[in-house]
Amino acid sequence: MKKLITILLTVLSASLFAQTNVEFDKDNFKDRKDEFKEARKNFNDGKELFEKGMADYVAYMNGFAEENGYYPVSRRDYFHRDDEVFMEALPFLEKAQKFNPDNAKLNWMIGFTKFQHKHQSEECIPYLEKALKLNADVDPQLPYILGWAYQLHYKWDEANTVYSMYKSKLQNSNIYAMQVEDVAKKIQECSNGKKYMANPQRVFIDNMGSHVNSAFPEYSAYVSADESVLTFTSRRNNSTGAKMDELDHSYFEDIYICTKKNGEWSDPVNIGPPVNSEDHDATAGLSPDGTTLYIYANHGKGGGDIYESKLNGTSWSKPEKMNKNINSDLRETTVSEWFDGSKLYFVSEKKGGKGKGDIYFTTKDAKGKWGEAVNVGEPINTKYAEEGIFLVADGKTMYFSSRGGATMGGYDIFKTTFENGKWSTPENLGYPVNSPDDDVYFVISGSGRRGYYASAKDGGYGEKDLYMITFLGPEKPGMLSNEDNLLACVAEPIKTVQAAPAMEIVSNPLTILKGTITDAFTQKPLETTIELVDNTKNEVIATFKSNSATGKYLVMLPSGKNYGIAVKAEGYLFHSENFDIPASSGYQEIIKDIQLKNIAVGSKIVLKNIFFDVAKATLRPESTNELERLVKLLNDVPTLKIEIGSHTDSDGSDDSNNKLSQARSESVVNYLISKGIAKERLQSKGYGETKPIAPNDTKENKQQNRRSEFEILSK
Amino acid sequence: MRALILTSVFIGSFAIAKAQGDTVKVKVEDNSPELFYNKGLDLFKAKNYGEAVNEFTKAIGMKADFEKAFYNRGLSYAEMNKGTEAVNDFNKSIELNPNADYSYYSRGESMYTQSQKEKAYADFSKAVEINANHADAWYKRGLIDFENKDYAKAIEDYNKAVIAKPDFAYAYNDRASAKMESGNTDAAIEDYKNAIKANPDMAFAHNNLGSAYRKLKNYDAAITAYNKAIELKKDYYIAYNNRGSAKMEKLDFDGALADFTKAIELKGDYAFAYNNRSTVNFKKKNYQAAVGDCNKAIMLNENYGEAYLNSGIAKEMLKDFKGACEDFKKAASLGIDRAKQYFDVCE
Repeated sequence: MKKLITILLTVLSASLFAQTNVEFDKDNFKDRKDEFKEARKNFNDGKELFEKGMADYVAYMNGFAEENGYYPVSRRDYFHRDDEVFMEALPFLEKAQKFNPDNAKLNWMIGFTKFQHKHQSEECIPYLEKALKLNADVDPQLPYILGWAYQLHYKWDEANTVYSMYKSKLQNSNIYAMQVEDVAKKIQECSNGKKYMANPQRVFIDNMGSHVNSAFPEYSAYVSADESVLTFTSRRNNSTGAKMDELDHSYFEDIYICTKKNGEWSDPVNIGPPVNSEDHDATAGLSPDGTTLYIYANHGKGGGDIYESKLNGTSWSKPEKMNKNINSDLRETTVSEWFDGSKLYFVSEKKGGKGKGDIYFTTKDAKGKWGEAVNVGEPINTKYAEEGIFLVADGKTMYFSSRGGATMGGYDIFKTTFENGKWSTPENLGYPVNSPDDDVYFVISGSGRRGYYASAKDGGYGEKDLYMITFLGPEKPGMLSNEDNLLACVAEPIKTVQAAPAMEIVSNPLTILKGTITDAFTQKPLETTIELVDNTKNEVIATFKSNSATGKYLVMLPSGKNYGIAVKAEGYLFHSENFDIPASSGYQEIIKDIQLKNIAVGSKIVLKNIFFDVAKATLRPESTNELERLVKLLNDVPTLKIEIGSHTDSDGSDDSNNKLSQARSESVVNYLISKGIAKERLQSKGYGETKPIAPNDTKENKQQNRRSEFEILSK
Repeated sequence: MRALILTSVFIGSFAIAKAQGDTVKVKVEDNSPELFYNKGLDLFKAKNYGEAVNEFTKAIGMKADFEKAFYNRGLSYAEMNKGTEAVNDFNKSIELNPNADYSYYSRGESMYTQSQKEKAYADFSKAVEINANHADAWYKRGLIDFENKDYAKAIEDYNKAVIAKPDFAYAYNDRASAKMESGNTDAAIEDYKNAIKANPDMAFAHNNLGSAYRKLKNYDAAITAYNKAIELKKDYYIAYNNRGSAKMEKLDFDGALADFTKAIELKGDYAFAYNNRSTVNFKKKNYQAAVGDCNKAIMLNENYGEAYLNSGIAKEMLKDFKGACEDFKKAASLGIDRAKQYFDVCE
């Protein structure tokens, strides 16, 4: 019993001793004089270096606060600040620590240095915790830095406790208000993080694999709306010129591209010159159809600007610097096109914004030039930085990263939708997509099912890797099957009917129309212009091109409109399509291969966007665009003579169908005459129901038969 | 069709037909029709229906207007599943005695067995018209109303049945079920309790009570009721399956797993239990096991929409999106509308 008490007392006194700060005082180490001398020297040498680094660090932080009106909220702003000095101090401090592990100042210095050097690691936490136990007042920043370390490792409650401790000890000064605001933000971030973690999002986050990623950094991935093209930046050893940047001893950035075949991403290919140079060339954006690449480069003045390169056939054009409405004297970083190419959203650090990095947009004028930049304002832009803009091709959804708003620390990725003329309150993508550290440069497929971003997670292939996030949406409830012997005299049990709960639809309201455009006779790919028309407004809302080498095209059709599609190429009859996409439609892809007819005598084309009043020959206003295209064709080829033939379905009598179709063809001819086309070039013919192109057996087939078409009579 | 026939099989003590009439007093030396009739009755009671028929036939041969003999021979035929002969005899009985409520009732039962529910309903109605206290006829009318999903009318008939027979446990149970199906779960619980009060040994009534509590998300009360059902009927796999579901909904995944496994142990081809066990395996993140259970359920019932749905949900978590998509599409084609909301996986 006595022995047990002795052991307990020893343990207790050891524990009490561990809680006591032991200064580097010779009286504390009377029997270790020689060792003490050396340890104190290490302590002092380390401390001198540390304090040198710390003075610069504090000056930098205060300078940042003075310039921006707030203290850095992300480590990205001072990442590795004075790292070399702190790392020089570390060996001295660690030697001293071996001699005297119970000195508060020493534990603080080692903890801070480790945090500053490699904040992803938890290594700093035991030192900072010990410093706090030994002497909580050893440095005013101690609870703040420990709080940040806890926060970065999802220890929300612990972080909250020490942040509150820090807050309670703040002294009134000229920077007091900013310090209070800073720590209040951190406390709020912990509260947000705890809330997000309690309700994790259903996602898979998968490394894109060794064939995409390498031991070198990969980041800034961009994907086309249909996920057929992926571009990203990497600092691999096979970059153009294979030279290293002296500033960070890493290879210069180059842009790489992958294409998807049979559901698998191809090996990345260096996009090569003229896009990649021996300097830094990084991805800044990609058009939804994957044919315009935006590049971030810093060539001379401008602090980093956006350049543009277009895919012509199989080669990318020489990058051209975008105009001064986009590029300023300060940094512009990422860019994203509105689905129809009419607007461009981008991130700029230009002066006059709400914070150091803000999201702006510019609109294309009639001449195709980008106009003056407009700040998108609240609730997207905050006084903190925004970065990594990405627009979904549904014409309403934006993803971006922000250090303001309801983050759980650093940059978090947010989603907002444009409705009723304004952007909704940004919604945090939650845990585990976001983390307490910086989460930025996120892009998502047109379907909304998969996102891509870069992260330096454990288990990767080295440095930052590209990851794919699969969004599973809300949990899919399963179904139980039950039965009861509801009727006493009947042996067979009766199955219980289950009511299905309503589910949130996760897919984006977007239809992607894609395919290949070829010459109907030769089958060769054609470079064509594809006009997208809002039939309700009779407006051309976007113009796309098919690729000259492949004939491939990709058109975005956000839900909620009736679209006319007109495909035109020099010397060919145009092709038209009509798509009515209700507002309730989710994501879908329509593959439509189109063959264009050379203007040859006898060629016929159905005018799919000409509409008449029911059982009448009156042209409806939504026919105007199609008719105008026909006028243009006749003006472009002044020798062309055509017949307008109208057809009906089999409903009604032959006589009435003949009359109606004749009247309709005349209506079209009269329209063309009213637009200045010579009468002699036009013939009208009502075919009634005599030439169906489909059996008159279904509503859809009958609709196909009710048509107007024109035939080339001579050219 | 199979289900229809199966639902027409009566069970329990209620199904035992009751012979009509006391033994008729006869002179011992007489070789009289009454003697054969009495012999027939004894044979009927001894469940020797074929010989009973012979004796009743002898009695009828000697006395062509022996109404009770026709009735009892009809009952004997009914027991031998000779529906046509039974109905002929009940017809004769009714012809000889237009107020024979018992013959209308029994003919109704034969019609019901032969799936002629409209005729059965008319006969039960006639029986209660003749005898408003014919509890069994009210009850059977309620049964047909129930099967026609006319729960309001069923409840009215069951009301009459329990007025005529205040301890009519089956009628309370079925009235409770009609109330359940009409969405009046609180009232259903009261009636299941009435049924149990009238006859505490009916395992199915305890099971049904459990399911009513489960519907109200009162899982503890549900589990108590299921426990009682299982105590009364040790091999009651339906109650195990239901108790498993209650535990599942209470997030007691281990308990649920044990109950579904027990249900499978008791009935190796019980597809419901395999399906339900898959949902527990899903919650326990044993996705492969969940798919295995669904496969088994589908093997037992190839048109099992819910099992396809659950299989798809598990396959999604195994990143088998193609397989999940195929399963959801199959489930939707089998009438599981919920599956259409899961097509995002198909993209």
